[in-house]
Amino acid sequence: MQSASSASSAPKRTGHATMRIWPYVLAVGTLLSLWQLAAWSLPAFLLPDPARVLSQMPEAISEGAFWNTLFTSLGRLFTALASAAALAVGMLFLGAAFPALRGYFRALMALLQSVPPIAWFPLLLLWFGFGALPIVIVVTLAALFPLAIAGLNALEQIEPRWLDLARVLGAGRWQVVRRVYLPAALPALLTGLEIGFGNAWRSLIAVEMLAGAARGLGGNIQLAGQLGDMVTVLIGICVIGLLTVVLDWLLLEPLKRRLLAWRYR
Amino acid sequence: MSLELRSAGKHFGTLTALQEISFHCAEGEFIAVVGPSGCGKSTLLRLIAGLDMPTTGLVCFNQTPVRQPSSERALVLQDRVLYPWLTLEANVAMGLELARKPRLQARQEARSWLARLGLAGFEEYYPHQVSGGMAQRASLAQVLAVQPRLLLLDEPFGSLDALTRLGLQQVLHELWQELGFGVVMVTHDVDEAVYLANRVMILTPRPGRILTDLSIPLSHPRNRDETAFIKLRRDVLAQLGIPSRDGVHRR
Repeated sequence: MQSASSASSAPKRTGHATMRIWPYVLAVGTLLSLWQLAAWSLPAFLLPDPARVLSQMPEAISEGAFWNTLFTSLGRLFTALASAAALAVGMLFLGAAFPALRGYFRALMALLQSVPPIAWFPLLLLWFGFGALPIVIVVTLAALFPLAIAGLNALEQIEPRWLDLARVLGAGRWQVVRRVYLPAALPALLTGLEIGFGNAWRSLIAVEMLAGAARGLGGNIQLAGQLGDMVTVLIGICVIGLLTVVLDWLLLEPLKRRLLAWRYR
Repeated sequence: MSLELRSAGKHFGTLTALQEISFHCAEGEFIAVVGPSGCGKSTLLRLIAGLDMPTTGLVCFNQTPVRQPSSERALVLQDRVLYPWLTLEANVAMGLELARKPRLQARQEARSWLARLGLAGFEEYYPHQVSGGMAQRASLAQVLAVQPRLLLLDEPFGSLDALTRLGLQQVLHELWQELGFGVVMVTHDVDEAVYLANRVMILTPRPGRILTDLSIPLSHPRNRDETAFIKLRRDVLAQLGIPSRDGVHRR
């Protein structure tokens, strides 16, 4: 039955996807045109045209150094996302079990959120030196706020009858947390993760550009810029854009479909 | 099993929802509670379930004051209570898994409860994929699976269409006769109350007090067209202040 139902809804999904892809094709086309227009009016050493950058991209990407850089950045990104998710889930656990803590956590997150995470970087750099740790902390903070705030809001909006039912069925405090609060908050948590992912990715590139000595995609762009190598800068920008789309498509969407299977039936 | 309320009352601030409610429900008894909207019927069930505490008086189950919910006194709400993220099978197995039954056993028991309520073949469906009547059957299976000695029903069929409601009344009646649990059912449907219950309790509006405790001495299976049934239904309606057309006609 499971296979039957996924088979029956599969064509609908692809139909939906093709409908959704056109706005993106148009948007990419617009950006490339603007780039081309700008390239015509500027000297090539300031802005190489799309054709030149895109034609050099395969070569740049085929180098081992590129993949090293890429995996360094992705490693930091996922370490930070995992830490942020762990912190957010921990907060949800406590907030669900002890309602009095919810307001406190929310206030804490609201205060911390008012500071762009990258502002902490100089401080972290002094404490931990030029390594992955200060970068990962900044990126963790960037991902944490949307995750935690979405999750805490979901706790407030839970249907009281779901809680009553669990208690009637004999659930203790922690069973209610694990079996009602967390699954009920999961959709909001995944929306938070989507936003958190975007935040984390932007912060990562920014902080890597600040931490000049550190490798990574941001570091590469920064270095290339200082050397006046605009082709590499633009390749870096294109790679970042592409990667965001690919990660969203390869990771976040399947994760949502898997964890929220009941919504897609 | 015995349930006893002694002068139980519930205030919300200055509002008195229930006042001086005293009654006893014996093993296997089926009590229907009817009354105008806002007479505190749902509050009454929440007190018995242990989800709310009375502000005055006592609610005792098996001679012990009720302090918290328990699967011995299971409450079924009107609708949309199944967990939307669980399949029907997982919903029904929930209470069993909470009681730390091994997962396989819990799932097997859940399947047999679903089958018993006519839902065989729908185990893997999610609540939003089935009709309101089927969801309400699954809700019944969910609480019956924890084998309550007292079933508390809050307008369980109130949001269903008339045909589905009649079918489910029959299902409930058969389960009650077979399993012998006690029932306290809140309903707006006087016909349903007289058809199913041993006793019909009529509450007054704000604050809710017991106006009448009417015994229904008809044997089962009951016939809705029988004179005695029609008379009892008219009595209940008259107590609720609704003059029956039959009465006017007869005069």
